[in-house]
Amino acid sequence: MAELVAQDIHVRYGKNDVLKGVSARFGDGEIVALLGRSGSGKSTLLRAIAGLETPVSGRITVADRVLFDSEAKVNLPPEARELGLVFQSYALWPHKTVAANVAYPLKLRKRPAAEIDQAVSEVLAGVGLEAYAARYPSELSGGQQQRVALARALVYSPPLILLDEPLSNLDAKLREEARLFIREVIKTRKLTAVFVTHDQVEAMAIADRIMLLDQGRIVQQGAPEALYSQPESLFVADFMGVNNRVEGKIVARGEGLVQIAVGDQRLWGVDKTDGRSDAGTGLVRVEQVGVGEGQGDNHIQAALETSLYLGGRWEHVFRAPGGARVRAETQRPLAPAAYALHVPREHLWVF
Amino acid sequence: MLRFFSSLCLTLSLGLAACAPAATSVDHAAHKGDDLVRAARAEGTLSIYANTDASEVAAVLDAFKVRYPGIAIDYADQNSTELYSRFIAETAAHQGTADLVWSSAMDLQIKLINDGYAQSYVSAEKGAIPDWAVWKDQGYGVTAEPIVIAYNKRLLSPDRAPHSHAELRRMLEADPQAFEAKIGTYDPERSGVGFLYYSQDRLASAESMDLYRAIGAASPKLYTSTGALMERVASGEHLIAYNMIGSYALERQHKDPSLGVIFPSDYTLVMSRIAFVAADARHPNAAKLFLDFLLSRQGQELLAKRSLQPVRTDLNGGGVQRPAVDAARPIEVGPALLANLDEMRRLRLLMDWRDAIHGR
Amino acid sequence: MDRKLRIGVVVGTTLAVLAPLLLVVWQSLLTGPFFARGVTLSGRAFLFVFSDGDFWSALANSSLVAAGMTLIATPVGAMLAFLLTRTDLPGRRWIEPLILAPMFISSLVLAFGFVVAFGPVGVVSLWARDLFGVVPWNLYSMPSLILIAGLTHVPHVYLYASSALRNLGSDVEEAARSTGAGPLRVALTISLPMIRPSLLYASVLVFFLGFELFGLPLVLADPQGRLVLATYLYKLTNILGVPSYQLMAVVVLVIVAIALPLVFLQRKLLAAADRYVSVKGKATNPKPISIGAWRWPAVAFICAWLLFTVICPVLALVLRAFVSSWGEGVNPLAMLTLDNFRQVAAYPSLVRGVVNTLLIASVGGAAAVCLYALISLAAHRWRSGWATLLDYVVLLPRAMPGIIAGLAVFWVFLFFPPLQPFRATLLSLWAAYTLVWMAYGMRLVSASLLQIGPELEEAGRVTGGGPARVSFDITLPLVKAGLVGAWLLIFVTFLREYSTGVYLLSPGTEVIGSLLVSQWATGAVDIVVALSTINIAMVLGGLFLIALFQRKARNG
Repeated sequence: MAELVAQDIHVRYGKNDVLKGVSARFGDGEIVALLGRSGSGKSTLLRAIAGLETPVSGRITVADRVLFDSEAKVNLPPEARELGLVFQSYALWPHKTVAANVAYPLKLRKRPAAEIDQAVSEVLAGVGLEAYAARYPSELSGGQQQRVALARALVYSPPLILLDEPLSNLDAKLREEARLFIREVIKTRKLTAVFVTHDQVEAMAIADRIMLLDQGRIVQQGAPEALYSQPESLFVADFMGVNNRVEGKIVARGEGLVQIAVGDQRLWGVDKTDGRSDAGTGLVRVEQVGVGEGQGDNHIQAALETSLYLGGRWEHVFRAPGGARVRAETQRPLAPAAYALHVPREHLWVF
Repeated sequence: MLRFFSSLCLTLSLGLAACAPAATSVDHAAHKGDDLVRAARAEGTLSIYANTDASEVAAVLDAFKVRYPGIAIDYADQNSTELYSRFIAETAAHQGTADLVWSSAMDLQIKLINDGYAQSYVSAEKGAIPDWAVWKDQGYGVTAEPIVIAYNKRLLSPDRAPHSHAELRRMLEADPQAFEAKIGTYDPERSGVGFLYYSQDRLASAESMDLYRAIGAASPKLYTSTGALMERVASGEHLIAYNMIGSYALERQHKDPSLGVIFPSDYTLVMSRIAFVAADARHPNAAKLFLDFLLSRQGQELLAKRSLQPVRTDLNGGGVQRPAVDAARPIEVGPALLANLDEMRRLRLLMDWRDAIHGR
Repeated sequence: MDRKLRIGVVVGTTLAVLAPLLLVVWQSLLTGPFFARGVTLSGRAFLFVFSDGDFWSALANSSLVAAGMTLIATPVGAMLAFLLTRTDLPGRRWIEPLILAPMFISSLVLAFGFVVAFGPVGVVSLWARDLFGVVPWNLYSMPSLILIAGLTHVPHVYLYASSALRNLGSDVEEAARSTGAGPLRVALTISLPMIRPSLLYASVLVFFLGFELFGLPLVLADPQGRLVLATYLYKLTNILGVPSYQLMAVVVLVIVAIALPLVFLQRKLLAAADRYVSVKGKATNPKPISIGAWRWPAVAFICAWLLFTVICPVLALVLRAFVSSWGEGVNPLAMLTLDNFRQVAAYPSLVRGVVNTLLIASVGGAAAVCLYALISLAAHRWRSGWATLLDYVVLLPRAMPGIIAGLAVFWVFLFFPPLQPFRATLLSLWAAYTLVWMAYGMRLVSASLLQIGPELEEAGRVTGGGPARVSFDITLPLVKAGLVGAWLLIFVTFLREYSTGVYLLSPGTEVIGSLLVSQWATGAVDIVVALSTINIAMVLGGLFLIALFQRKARNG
């Protein structure tokens, strides 16, 4: 059973507060993504769990083992924490062969040689690299190196595995394969996994749950769909998808709805404001904007400016009379003309 | 007065040298030497700090080992100031230091003896050593080396070379241009021996400051290192090295005949390498035995082979060139040298020297 | 390494460095040797030195020489670094170790070589006089001293500039060339400005070395009575008749006081340099710039520099070692002899000196590199005030002139009871050498340590290795090549060191360097030149090894 709990973690670099009190619970067998922009503190949280950063205060436990507790002055060194870590750069030791890289954690644990050999070949087979055992890391492709790093982190069966941007060094095609592969491996071994990423698509694809961090705090957490479709703040809404964003003035309020004026256009949307300011920001996912003709409620008249073919669908950029730019998607190309863009009120969030 | 007396002594002893009975020293050593040799053997080793190159004294060391087997010698040669620094620091730390200290920095040696760093020992050879070379039965001058004018024979023919201080001065005064940057000498401000010879020049001759002024007019080059000074005369960069240590110049002459050596006929300073047995010596008997050996006929003859002129009066120079007897002005091994270390006097003498060299 | 061990290493290093330095500070405040009886506290030594006109003229000369040589060494070193690391200059692999040569030959020996070659009756001078009627230069003038000091310190700039240039991606240069810049323009407007922090760092280093200059001014400026700070020290040894340590200590403190702000400045520059490198991102396999017809003037420029600063003085010195006499009116070829070497071979202390020198350079050098590696590892990736302290501490010994550092180490071994048994052994000499070259050696070692990505070590920790185990299994194997390189450089550095061992010279601990100093003073020039020639042969052997090693490293 490996439930990881972090309580009120503070990390400081010099005068810089990197984590400002993060509390999180990572359930047994759960894959959690730490998502955020660079500088949000997501990697720092991961490194604090691994023992590579020392928080100024807080408490970290795995099951009933205390890894770190500032009050009780407990701070286990990384090697005593018994967890696996896959580095962004893979951190394979260039002077050791693939097999030696994978065998090293077992050697540190003084396992008998025969057992080590068997465990290494099993785990290498598990990542599909049994033929590469005698090679050096520099002789492998990026994807293969990543698998070796994963094998090395898994070979000693830690209950908890941490992954730092595991896919960022792979090219686009490999990335899609790898995210499937990683999820599969973790799930079959019933591991608890925490992984860091800045890519919301990757986070949604792999994770059971996402924690979104910003400026050293968790701003929202939950299942991928929840974060995507029920953002609690403008930041979350903006971060999680491809959006149209407009600044405007709130001109009317209704039952759970507000009306926002952008130029001379008025749009109704879901009220997510605090109700105190009459300036508002409207946000709608690009895929929710309908392209058609005619008039109606929550329609904007805009001229087509340019189109991009994205393979299977088109993305169009329209210019509204007030100067606002609106993006929308269709399955077919459009001729240059003026169009009526429909922004469904239940999909327009006003913050 | 003292000076006159000591040079008289030297004159007399040199005069007597020819008829002195050769056997005395050996007998001397034999009669009380046995105890000393036994005690020295028991000590087994001997540490010597000296500023004479190991290569110069290798023959002496070897002969000593042959004669007194069973006594190992640690011979450390270093510069006189380093020797002094090490010796006083080691004595203060009581960590064992030299048993025998032997250096040509006469004033530093006298200071050490005066400060109680030496122990008394009446050498078996004392009878053969002139009085000027022994102080308090502690400091023994082991050599009698003339201070000379060295010159480059290729560029300055021997008949043109100056043969006395006065001649040198006249030459320089007559044609300072010809010697512009062509004279090298020790720098009394930075070289201990340089100061010693300068201060002795002033005692030896009332006109020495005129000579220094004449040298100063020719923009002399000033050295701290004997090697550098001699090299530049030998190469012809300088014509004349004034107040060069004679033994080095004579030794170099063996290999490089273009180096000329002159014992100034009006007076020739004679310096000595002073040895004493350290008060804290751990092997005092071995040190005494070695001191005796240095002063013995055999030791002195071996030194003479390397152009280190013997101090003994019964060797007649041991085959090395020596200054004329009546011109020799030995620097007395005695307390008069302490005056050189008096800060005020030293700085005043240096100021005089500066004024003379810089033509003020 | 765990925290306790790290702090232990830092404290140990600090003590080893500060003990001699504090002894010097203490000595400066006394009226006589600190170990003598009846010595009292007093500021007299400071008063004496600061009211001595010679001190101020020495300080002025030192400043002038330091500034002048920096102005010469920096551009020449930067240009050489560009030509050798970034262009397709013919023969550059074999030129490189030669460029470092002046750094590894005792400046005392080199200066003497200059006298034999370019002195008023030097071999080259006499030849020039036959050609032009007069010798067109004066070796003993101040401009000559500055020029020689500047040109012989080119390697220091070269070392830092070339390593910075190697880290620079060649894309920035290719970009400049594709917009139409010629090779010289690329160097002056792109490559060299981009490594400005490293160049500034090297200039500060050279400027500081200018204040320490000893061998060159001793031979070239001393006879004219022109003093610099280090030779002024010599004068103080004698001015009062007995060695006046308190006065020397004051001068050392002046040099330390000049060094400290420079060290601080260097640290700032270094931080800036490291930042620059990381901004530049990945250096792709650098492709040399083709300089076309420029290659011949470039080669000529390098050869001229080599001829003047290395080949002529070294050949002259070697020639001197094989003759009994030289100079005006002598045909050296008629004087050829092996006597000088026979003389060396005949004396056990000289032979011992040769053997000891090899021993201290090879075994001692390796031990020193191990120690530097240990200290570097202790501070490695450690965000702590202790690590900053260590940074400053290791630079302090460099601020003491070698001869004084040697004297201070001698005192420590003499008056600190646990060390007393080792005083007259090579261990004391090794301690002094290791201390004096600590800043240099640590920089070599930590440079290769910093090239290891931190995640390689972190991976070792996370998979279950303790700090010591990770250092041993991962860090050290990865810096192996760097450590061997550091050892080779320390090897030649220890080979040529001369002033540090002077006070530690005793029977059994002779090394060539200190023998040279003592023989030079007593006039045994023949032995000095023979020993120097042997020393140079050793250094060249070391440089050859370095060249081989670099070839091997480059070819994988």
